[in-house]
Amino acid sequence: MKSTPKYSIGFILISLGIIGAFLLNIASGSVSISFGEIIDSLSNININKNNHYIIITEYRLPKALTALIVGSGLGVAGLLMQTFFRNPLAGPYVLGLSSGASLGVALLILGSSLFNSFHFLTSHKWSYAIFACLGSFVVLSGVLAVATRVKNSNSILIVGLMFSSIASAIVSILSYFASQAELQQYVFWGFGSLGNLSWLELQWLTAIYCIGIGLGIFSIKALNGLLLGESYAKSLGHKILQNRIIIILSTSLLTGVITAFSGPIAFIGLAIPYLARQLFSTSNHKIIFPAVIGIGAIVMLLCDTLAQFPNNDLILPINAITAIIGAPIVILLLLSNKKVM
Amino acid sequence: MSKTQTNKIVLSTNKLAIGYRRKKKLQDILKNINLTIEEGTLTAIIGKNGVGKSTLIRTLAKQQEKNSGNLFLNHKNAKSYSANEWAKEIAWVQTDIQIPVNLSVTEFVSLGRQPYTNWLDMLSRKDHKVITNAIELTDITLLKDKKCGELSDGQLQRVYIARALAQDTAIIFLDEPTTHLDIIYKAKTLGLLKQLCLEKGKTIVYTTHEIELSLQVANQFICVSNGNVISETPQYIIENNLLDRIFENDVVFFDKKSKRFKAF
Repeated sequence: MKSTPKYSIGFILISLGIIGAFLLNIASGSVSISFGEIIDSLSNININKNNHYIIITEYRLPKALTALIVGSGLGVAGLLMQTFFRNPLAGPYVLGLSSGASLGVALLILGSSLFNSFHFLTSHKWSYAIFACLGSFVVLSGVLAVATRVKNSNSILIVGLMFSSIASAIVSILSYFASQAELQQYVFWGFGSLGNLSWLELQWLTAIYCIGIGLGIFSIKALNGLLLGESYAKSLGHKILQNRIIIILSTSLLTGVITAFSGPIAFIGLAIPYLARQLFSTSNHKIIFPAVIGIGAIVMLLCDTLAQFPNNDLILPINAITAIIGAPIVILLLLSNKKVM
Repeated sequence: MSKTQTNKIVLSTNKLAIGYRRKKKLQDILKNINLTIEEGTLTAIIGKNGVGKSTLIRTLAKQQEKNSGNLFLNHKNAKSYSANEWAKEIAWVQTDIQIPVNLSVTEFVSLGRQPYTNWLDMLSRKDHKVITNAIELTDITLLKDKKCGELSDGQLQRVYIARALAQDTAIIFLDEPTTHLDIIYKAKTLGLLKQLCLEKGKTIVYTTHEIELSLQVANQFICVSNGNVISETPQYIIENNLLDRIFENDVVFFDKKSKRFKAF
């Protein structure tokens, strides 16, 4: 095909971008570490286990990998939702999936005083993930149940908004009854952070992420069919119900596990697919799916680098950074008034 | 069509009832439908707005569930076909969709190959050949690298038909293929459908309000009115003033001589 070279250049640029953003991310932090040391530490040569080596391998490397997973995972979740609901404004945050995940975590952290049986669970980050996945799954199922009854794709966004208000309301009620310590724990979780993961937790995150992405890759063919709407997808021999379940599962797993480990992160899921479609100017999922993974990783790494003041202990909440970058993109999207599916 | 020459029947219904499911109760719009559609023919489904034309064609294409009765494809019950087997027999075209503006014409047409591709949707050499053929047959070669968002309604209509051709099915169903088109594109579209029947042996069924042009190209009319579904040739319809009964009103009437509707 004629257009293949154009896409190849795009993907080469994305690969270089990921490497660049990755190194930049690792290079930035409260302690200034020279580039040579970073390369040495990452490639495991010249191992003199000084402080810098430990900072890099035990803190910065897992953080950068988390950023990579979070950005690409939320991007893919957004892409799946946008194609599935045929609405460029859909995304895990807008549709209330992140709120659902937050509600799951809130039930766990804040509800432990109300429901004593939860208490033994709160010490494990792992249980955050389960509750968050369940939360986003419940909300997505709710949105979907309503979406099949209303045909207008804009009302789906309103439904998502309503679900996230309900989730926030329940969180408020829980907060009211929670102890100060629990509240603080929840608020800090809510700011979002990429840097709190141990290697073990990162392994779990990666495992679930791979399942989510795998299910997503499995849906690429169906997603392309769905571009023409459900009737066409059906006429092309797709089993709508089966595809629906796979897409929902993939989205809830990705959103749930990422939200659990890094807090609710706004706008990435919405903005990345939009950016990818603009840069590659196609909605063919065979192209756009890998593009979303790459661009999501780059943007998240850069956001995390921005959140980190150089040579300073100060780290801004990552959620604030993604919103500051993401919100103007959304406004641009609305203003351009161009159909982008 | 002379009745001496009997073609192979590809699609038929027996006491078919169609409609909706409302609050878990089936509501029939049309029932006791007995139709046969012969291979290589062009069939137009006509009737007033809201009589159930769309529901009928959607049910025939298995886009929606029938309420009762039977639908047969190649004398086999439609139920016995899997979704993928059905997709290799029947292509569906509807035009009231949200156009994927960022998809190129070739990408759009390629989607027709999905019933044949593997889970990764990789196109084989044969797939590419079928796609190129479909594009040439519908005369959209010059448009093939354009994005769907850049096309006019008339051009899009040909792209939709090309996609259906790429699906390589014996039967194509089209829901309102002539809506939103100017008279030239209406004639072009119907002419293309006729050509596909004659040259490629396709069996094509479409719903339409474009009766005058359809009278000139279609082999068979399925007329829906007052809860009845009848199937007749264009000649029979004209000679027996059926159109005045189907479109019962006091504004227009059908003039036999000129084969046109006239007002007042």
